[in-house]
Amino acid sequence: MDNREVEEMLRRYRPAAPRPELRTVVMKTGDSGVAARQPQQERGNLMKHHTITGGGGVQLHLVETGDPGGRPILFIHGFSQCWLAWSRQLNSDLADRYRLVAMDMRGHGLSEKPRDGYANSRFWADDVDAVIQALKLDRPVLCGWSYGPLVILDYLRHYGEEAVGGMSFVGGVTKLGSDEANSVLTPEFLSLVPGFFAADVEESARSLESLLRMCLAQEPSAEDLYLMLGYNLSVPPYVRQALFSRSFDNDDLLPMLRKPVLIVHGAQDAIVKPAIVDQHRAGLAHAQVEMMPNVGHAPFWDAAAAFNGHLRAFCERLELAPVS
Amino acid sequence: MSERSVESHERVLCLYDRYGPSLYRYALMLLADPAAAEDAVQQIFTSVLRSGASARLEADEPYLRRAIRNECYSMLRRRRIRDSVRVEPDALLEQIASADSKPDERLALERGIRLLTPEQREVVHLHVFDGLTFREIAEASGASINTVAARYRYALAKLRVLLGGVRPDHGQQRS
Repeated sequence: MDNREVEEMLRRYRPAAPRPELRTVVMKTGDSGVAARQPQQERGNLMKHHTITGGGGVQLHLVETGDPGGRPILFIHGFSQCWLAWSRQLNSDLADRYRLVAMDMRGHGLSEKPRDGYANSRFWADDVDAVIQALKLDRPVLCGWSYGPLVILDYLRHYGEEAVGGMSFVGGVTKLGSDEANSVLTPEFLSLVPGFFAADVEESARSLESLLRMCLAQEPSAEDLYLMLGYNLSVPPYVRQALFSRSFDNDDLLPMLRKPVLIVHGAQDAIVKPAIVDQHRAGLAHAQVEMMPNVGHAPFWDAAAAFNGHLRAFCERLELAPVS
Repeated sequence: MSERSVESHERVLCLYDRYGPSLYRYALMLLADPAAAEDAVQQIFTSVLRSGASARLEADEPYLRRAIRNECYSMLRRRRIRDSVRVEPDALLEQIASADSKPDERLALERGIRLLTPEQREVVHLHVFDGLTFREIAEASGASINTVAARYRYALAKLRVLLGGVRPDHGQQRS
């Protein structure tokens, strides 16, 4: 038998047709799939912990769960938080389809807390790059909360957007340390700032508790508040001060971004005024914006199911996009 | 269900009627697994419905083909069946109406196709069944023409060896 005979044999066939039932299945998926795929909270997914070396040699702690072959989503928490802030994503059914990775920023959670190394944008960029390289994340979606988008933009400034699939800014800020930057922060939040730097434990704890309550639109349970307060207090005051001492503006990058962007903001955000979304929309004309009603500064916590739905839909749209 | 949602569902079904069967066939050849091919098609249409992109996609078959291709390769990565052989009893092929019925030949061909790599099956599908040129396949898959031609050549060579025992004239095993 030669190649021509094999070709002739193949041409006597065609791939089998789909079962007629597939049409019905597609229709039913449309009806029930959205509801059926709503995230379930607190499933207790298995977490893998990693320690890697970030910018300037700082040891960074990461947590990974979900489908190792799925599109990676790299979660970057906010000021004074840690990976546990994303519990309602890491333990949701997002894990069925995506590779979920949450990093502890330098100075936070279980990452190393050096005395310095916070002022240099390059180190922050190197940290994100180190995660992408160490875990071999294939075109991840970078999802940052509050301070997180600043770090995402640090990364994009130094490494470009080639290696990422898309970005999501959640209650995010993109500049810091100027009157203009402060104008998008609420006066109530700004009044708490000196307390974040207090060496006095009680004063520090009081400020952080106020910060946490300000993050959430709903009263947290005692258990949640206890845990959140714990990981907030584990961040030394000098780290919080160093983060706030940065004075920079990453807005110049926004019009240059070409990868898909999802902006999620709580309409009741008591920390970063929802008006910031208009500023971001001006720089990011292609961004998809989800302004979530009755939700505060932490939409992924206040309304986890709806937030996860937005994130999933965003990732699905990336899959529909042409292979780059 | 809202009026807009009903309209969107109807559009998705029209889209399915128009492109679903050919997308399924493409997925079937890539995955060599009817159940997985159904999952891939279902996933794509669910995504289309959620994204509200059905109106835009009505005349954009290439976009849907890229989407099903992305989905299939994601599934192959996830399931780690890329280079493994799966025993699937369901048919991959159907005989075209004008051909004589040769069940042994079909089964032998299916066995052979399952032993090809996904990339080889994809080239065979697009070239033999969809009639695309190597240049068109290269453009659709992002590979070079030489790579596409080599994949096709290796696929035929592999099938030739695997089908060595089947006579092209009557499809019986040689003794």
